[in-house]
Amino acid sequence: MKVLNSQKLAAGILVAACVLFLCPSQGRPEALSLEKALVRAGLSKERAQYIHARVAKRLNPENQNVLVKTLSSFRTREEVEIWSQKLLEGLAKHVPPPLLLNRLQVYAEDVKWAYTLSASLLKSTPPTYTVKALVDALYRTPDNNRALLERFFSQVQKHINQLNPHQLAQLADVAGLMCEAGATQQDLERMLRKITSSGKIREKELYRYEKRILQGIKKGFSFQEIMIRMDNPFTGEGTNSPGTTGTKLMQEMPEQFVPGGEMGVPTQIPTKKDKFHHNIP
Amino acid sequence: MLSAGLIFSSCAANMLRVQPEAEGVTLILDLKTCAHDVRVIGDFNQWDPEKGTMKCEDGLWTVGLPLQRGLYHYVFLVDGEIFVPPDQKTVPDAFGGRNLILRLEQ
Repeated sequence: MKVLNSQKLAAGILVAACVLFLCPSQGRPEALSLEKALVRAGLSKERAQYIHARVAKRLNPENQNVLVKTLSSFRTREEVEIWSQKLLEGLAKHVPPPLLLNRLQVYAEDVKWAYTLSASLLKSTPPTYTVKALVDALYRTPDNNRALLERFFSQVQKHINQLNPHQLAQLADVAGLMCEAGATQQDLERMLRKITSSGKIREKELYRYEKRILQGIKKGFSFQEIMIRMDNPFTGEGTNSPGTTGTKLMQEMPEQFVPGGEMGVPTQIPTKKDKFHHNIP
Repeated sequence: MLSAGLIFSSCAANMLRVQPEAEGVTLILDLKTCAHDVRVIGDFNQWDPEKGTMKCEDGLWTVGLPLQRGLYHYVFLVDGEIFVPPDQKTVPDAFGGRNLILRLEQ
């Protein structure tokens, strides 16, 4: 009897071992597949493990499978890097899983769009910050209007032969700010004509645009109102003639917002050696 | 884009200063209110609060960030709550909130 029990026990162990051998992922299939999917998408093993560890704390296997499916749509490692940052951000901000998954899927499409556009404009692999700047511009655009930005940036190619990543990122910043303030396609193109009138992008003027539009938005002015204040100092052809709404509004503006005023904009433009960008009014 | 130097926001209630360093930046946050724990989370530390502890010195919360060139999104965590100082350049974060932006060109 005792021998029989031992044989049954041994047989049971053998069967269990066979089951585990044949189905090694039985206990944790999704967890492994997410990590593998991240590695397959181009991330390092360490990075994939780190992200997986963070994800596993918040998302169940079913939700992790949604991430795996999203990952499979990416074409480059850069796209995955940007998307995974957004994933980590959502986890850190304790975004509810259903909302997190939904937004990450949308964000994945936005990242792919921005990557393709910036790679096309630069004719090379764009740096992460340029792609992110384009995504940001898209997010500032009402209804995520990709067509609006695509038309604007197609104008960039017409005007400028060589566009560096920084210029593209800053153009995206300005375009995004303008869209947030309510600018139209014509407004964007008008701005582009001004800053490229010399044949190449004038970074100094681009920088001034960015600072002034930001100030205008923060002070609650519409894009048209902001433009009225921006025309004169840059081109002398503004619509700010006596008696117009512009003049009236200008009188209501703080002194620092009067055309030609510096508004806290540094008079010295950053050098190539040590550029530092933090848009604080 | 600003050249290296001290940069203050114009907000009266809260002030954020971004001080360029030889490698990266130092963030200096003047909350003007009581806080026990302030952290910064963002792209530069994988949004990990454990890696973004700020020190309080003379009423100012500071943290040094050794950063390479790039565009970084970030927010502060004040006593566990997300905090974005007003009057700063922000972008939508895709989750209904907003992130601060820091771009470094070197």
